[in-house]
Amino acid sequence: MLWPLALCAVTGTMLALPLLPAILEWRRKTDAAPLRIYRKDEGDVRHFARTFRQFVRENMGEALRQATADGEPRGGTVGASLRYHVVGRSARPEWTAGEVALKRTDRMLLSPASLRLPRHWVFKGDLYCEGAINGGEGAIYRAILAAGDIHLAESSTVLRWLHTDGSLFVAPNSTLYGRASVEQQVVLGSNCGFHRLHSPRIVIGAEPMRTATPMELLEARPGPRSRWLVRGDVELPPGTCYDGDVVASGDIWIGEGTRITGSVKSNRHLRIARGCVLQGAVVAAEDLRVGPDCRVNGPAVAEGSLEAESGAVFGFPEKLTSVTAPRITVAAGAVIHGTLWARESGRTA
Amino acid sequence: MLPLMLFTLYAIVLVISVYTLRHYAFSLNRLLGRQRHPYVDIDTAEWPTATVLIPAHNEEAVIACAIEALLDVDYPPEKLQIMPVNDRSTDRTREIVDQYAARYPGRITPFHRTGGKPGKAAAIKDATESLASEVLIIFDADYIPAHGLVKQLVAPFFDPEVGAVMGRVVPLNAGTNLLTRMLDLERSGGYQVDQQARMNMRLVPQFGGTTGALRRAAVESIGGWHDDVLAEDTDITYRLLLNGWKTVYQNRSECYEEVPETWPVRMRQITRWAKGHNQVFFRYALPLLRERRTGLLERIDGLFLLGVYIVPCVLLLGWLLCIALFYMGAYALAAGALALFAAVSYSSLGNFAVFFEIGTAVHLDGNRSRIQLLPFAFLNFLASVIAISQAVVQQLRGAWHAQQLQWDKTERFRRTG
Repeated sequence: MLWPLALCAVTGTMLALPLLPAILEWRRKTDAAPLRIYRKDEGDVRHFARTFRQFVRENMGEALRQATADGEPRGGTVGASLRYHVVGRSARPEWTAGEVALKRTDRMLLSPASLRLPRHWVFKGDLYCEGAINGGEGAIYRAILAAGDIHLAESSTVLRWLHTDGSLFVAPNSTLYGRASVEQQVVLGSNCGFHRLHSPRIVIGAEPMRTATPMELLEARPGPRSRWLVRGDVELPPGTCYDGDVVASGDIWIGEGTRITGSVKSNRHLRIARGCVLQGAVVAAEDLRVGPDCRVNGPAVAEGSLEAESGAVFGFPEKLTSVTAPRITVAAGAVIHGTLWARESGRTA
Repeated sequence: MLPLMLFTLYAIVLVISVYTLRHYAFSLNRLLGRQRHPYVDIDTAEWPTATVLIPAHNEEAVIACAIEALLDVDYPPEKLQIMPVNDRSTDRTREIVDQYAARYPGRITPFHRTGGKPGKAAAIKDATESLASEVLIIFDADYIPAHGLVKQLVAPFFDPEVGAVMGRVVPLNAGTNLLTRMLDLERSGGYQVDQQARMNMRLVPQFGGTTGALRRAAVESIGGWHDDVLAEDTDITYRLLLNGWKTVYQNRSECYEEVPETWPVRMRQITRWAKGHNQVFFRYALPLLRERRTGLLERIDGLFLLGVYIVPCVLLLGWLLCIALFYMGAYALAAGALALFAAVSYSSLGNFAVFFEIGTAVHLDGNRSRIQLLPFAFLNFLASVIAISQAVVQQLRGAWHAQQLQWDKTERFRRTG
């Protein structure tokens, strides 16, 4: 009797053995929590700025108030290791000898007034400024939050994020990684890199002189529009006026001076020649090129690269839009009202 | 008899092999391929008018949570209308909805339905008849949308080709018991791998009827809602496809849902899904094959997607044939097919997602220990095979007697209001 029972027990154990990890996890519930969903605003372009401002108010608010009152610099530590330095009336941070030797500071810098920063330094701590910031050439910043304008000198780099309640002026050959939210306007110089910019007005290079024509100011008609669905390529001759949406499974070429009251979608490449007005969105499953002096009122989206040529304008200051693609190149003279978001790399010509 | 059985077995093995390859292609695409999220970065725009519909039949336990969450979403309030669709409720649903409508006049406009055809499709059809919004968003009453979800679901409609958008549902009660943990794994595989791979490969992501949105003009252009179907979501996916509209999937537009916590409720849910899905199969399989405007790959994938609630029955039939052929002494004739069948069967066990899709999904979600539960997914599959087979038999019997399909509401488990 014993042997058959033992055989059954051994067989049962052998069968159950591969299920042991499953049984253990079932009973212990070590990984049973629901998948985390981003519940609030982590994706918002101003999220880091908002949380940093809150952090400064809670932890260094008193030091900033005192520095404003007596004009004296002061320093301190938050938690175990976060050192900060509050700049005094001189508007020039007091560097340690080690920092000067290395041209690098690990401290968080806070200033109750405007700030001027040296050339070729590395600022590993976040910058908080209640005035304007004038950066030095070749400087590298971790993150910047300023109430006034920010002027980044040539070859500057921002590694994580930037926010200003004023305007941002970026000199040539600079790079803005991560998010940059600017409440007034951004002026980007030539050969600048960017990832995600948001402002009512993003200007590349010199201030453009062009103003919108009455036709451009017309909004896309709400409600159902006619929809031109094409299997294959589409070529719209110059000067075409089309009232409705255009969707093609192949390439779309839009000739010079064309007016389209709806949106355009190409499942391959979309090319828009000079001086076209598109009152809806433009979407390309591969590359999108928006020609010189074009006006696009709705979002511009490409799954490959997006190229905006000189004088191209996207959105309006009071009706912001999005220009997004993995790779974006924007020529001098182009203007974007809203978000300019290059998931992989963005560059000004 | 024997040649017919052998021929049937070979045909079944062929079908299962093709499904297996399809699932492998999806998993590999998610692990190694280019991922498409073309609309996720549209965060600034002139947003269109939208109405959020919350179909609710006796949802007093959950409706308040859904409304509260929707009042907090990031969308211009003047462009967003919240419409709880109280469908013949006999509990406190109407009272709760009216209280919110009184507190938020203009933002919440309830639609009370006291009669008419039962079912979600009929309720939505009635509620949307007078709506003027450009986009219709649908959340079941047990869903809790996140702050940014509405914008994420609306953003793809700037693409004039898009007729429907589907987000990802995530079980909130995942850890309650073994069944909910199985369903959590199944949902992961189904959305994280299956739906996203179809989006990546430009095939046919499915509109799931909740955590999704529709372009009103597109719905009108295909003749509106059909209220004689159990799976109005699948029905609308295919009618959109046949009329040149795309359904897109947004994997990052996630929303919590409640999954069944008891086996009888789960069995009834899967039975209803199977009946509804198969009803759509018989309506649109042939039109889809004939449709020339839709791409060939989309048509093929569309057919495979339509067949997902028939495959478990086919698999069951294959197993029975194998046993019968073995005892009939046809082992030598069927040896190759049997070996292949044994190899591919394992790769076809599942409804929303097969085992390796679940493994891939858990890996992509960054979870670790829950993958150890995978062997138990076999139990879930066996239950589904039984439920689906029952559904097919009931459907065939119903078709014979010309009976109409009956709507069966999924029971809720949350207790708070």
